[in-house]
Amino acid sequence: MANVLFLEPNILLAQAYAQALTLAGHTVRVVQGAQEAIHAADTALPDIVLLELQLPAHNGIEFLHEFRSYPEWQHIPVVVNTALYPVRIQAARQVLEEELGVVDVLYKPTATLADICEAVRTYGAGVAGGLYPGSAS
Amino acid sequence: MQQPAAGLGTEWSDLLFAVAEQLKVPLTVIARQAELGEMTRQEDAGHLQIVRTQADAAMQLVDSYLLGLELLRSQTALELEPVSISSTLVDTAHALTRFAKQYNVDIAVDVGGRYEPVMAHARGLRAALLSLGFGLVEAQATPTSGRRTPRLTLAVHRTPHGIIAGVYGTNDSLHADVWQRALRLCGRAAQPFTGLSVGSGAGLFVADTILKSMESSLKAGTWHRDRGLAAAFQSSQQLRFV
Amino acid sequence: MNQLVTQAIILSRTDYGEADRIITMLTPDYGKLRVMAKGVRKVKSKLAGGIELFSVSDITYIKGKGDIGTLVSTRLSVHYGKIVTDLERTMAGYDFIKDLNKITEDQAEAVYFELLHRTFIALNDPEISLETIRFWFNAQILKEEGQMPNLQTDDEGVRLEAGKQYTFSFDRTAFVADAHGKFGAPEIKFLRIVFAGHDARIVQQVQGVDALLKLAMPMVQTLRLNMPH
Repeated sequence: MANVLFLEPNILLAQAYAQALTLAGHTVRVVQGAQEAIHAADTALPDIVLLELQLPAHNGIEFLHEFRSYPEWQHIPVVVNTALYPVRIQAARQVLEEELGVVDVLYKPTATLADICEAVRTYGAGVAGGLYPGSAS
Repeated sequence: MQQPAAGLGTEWSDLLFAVAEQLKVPLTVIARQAELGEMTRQEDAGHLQIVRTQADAAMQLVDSYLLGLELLRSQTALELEPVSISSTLVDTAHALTRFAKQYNVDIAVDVGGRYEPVMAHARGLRAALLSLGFGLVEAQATPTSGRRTPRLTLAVHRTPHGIIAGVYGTNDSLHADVWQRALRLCGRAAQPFTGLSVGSGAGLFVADTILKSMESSLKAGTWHRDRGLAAAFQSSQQLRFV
Repeated sequence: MNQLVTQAIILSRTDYGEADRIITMLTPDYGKLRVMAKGVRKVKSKLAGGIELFSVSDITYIKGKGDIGTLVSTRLSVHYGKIVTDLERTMAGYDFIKDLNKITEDQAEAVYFELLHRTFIALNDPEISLETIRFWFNAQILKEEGQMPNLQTDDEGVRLEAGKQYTFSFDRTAFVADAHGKFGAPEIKFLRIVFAGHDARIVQQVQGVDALLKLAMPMVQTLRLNMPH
């Protein structure tokens, strides 16, 4: 079972995700902003991070650059769960996957709670994600 | 009928884009909260499934509209690729099943035969067929659909004009003139289709718009005894060089 | 101890030890600096403000004996917050920072601080397209690195003429007269505006900029690829 850090600015969606993941046996912390997420990860090391790219004041790309600049967090798998239309993040996809260690990208409007639980089960099992390409060995 | 004020077109189009983007948020919340309810409140699971399915269908319409707009606005040439029309129709049928069941409409696929891939925008094609399917499901369940068991069939066949993929229903009201008239009334009449309960027909018009960006379009057609809308595609020449 | 004050734009930061970070920055007065930010915990990460990306900050630091100084204080001067509201612009911003970080590896003159600052200003303005900004940025780099194309005379030293068409020769980094060439007076005038160092906003306002960019972008990109760096 995984320790999940969920960065989701919409509190109603955050509630639904948190409850579904808790029912599936995971420990979940939900935060609304990028700085909050940094602080939460600092307080308790997550096994996996789920992240919306559209955030208040900052965006997910910024968060990931900051997150990945700390060696102790470079191995943590990140799944993007975003409302941004797939066509719009096409250009970002390569950077997300190859430079920022994103293991999967979900389209939030159609990603069910079952899909979210499946993603955590697949990528969040300990260090299932492994080191991402840009991390220190 | 009042005509829209001159110069209103682009502003309203931009505004509608913003509205559509915003609608995704409450629709997602409704769908996910309903899904959570299905998981935690078994006694309400049936009702909640209806809520979730309707929210998903609405989301699909909004998404398809946004995709259509993106494709139309795109300055670069559309990225066409070889797409298996049969697989796309089967996937679409699966995606429609739960929604159709709520209206007691059966979903069938008829993709027998070998068809080479067609050149299309993969995501656009899927969105168009889904929009069309969602749009036509309700029409099959109305009293005008006759005595036959309400059914929607997703089918493909070959003609001299190319590979034809369409969605056809047991409701036999969708003749060519009905479709042409509806196209003229799009956005100006609350019910542009006569004899067909598809509301404003938004799903059908969105599908048509997406297909037009791929140099195709919807035309009224028949499949055995069923009537519906279909589009013609050219097969991919690429594989000939393999 | 002399405390030096200057403006700075953050280029990168790396961990050092348990609680310190080394921050690399571009400044107008001292070029490229590397400073140690001591005891910076994650709660004071740059996202919390003070050392934000896509910002210009006023910093005070102490020059070290070696390459690394010590950061004393920072104060946010201006933050180009609109950049992060757009994912593509955010990514482009990171690309420009990475690019400049590489170009200024050995040395950095004040002009590069100014270039990055003007790039942030452009990225922060939604009226200026990303294509225009990329083109403009690459052109300024070519100019600063002494690799800009000859926009005055052709490969034979003859002044470029309004009524003639030209093709660009990469070997000679100059235009060659060619009746079927795609570069004529409007295109060359556009390039002169870009390479004259005007802001990206001015470039965006050129009539027919989209078509001009489409034509000139491969030329500028190839020149950049061929740059010695």
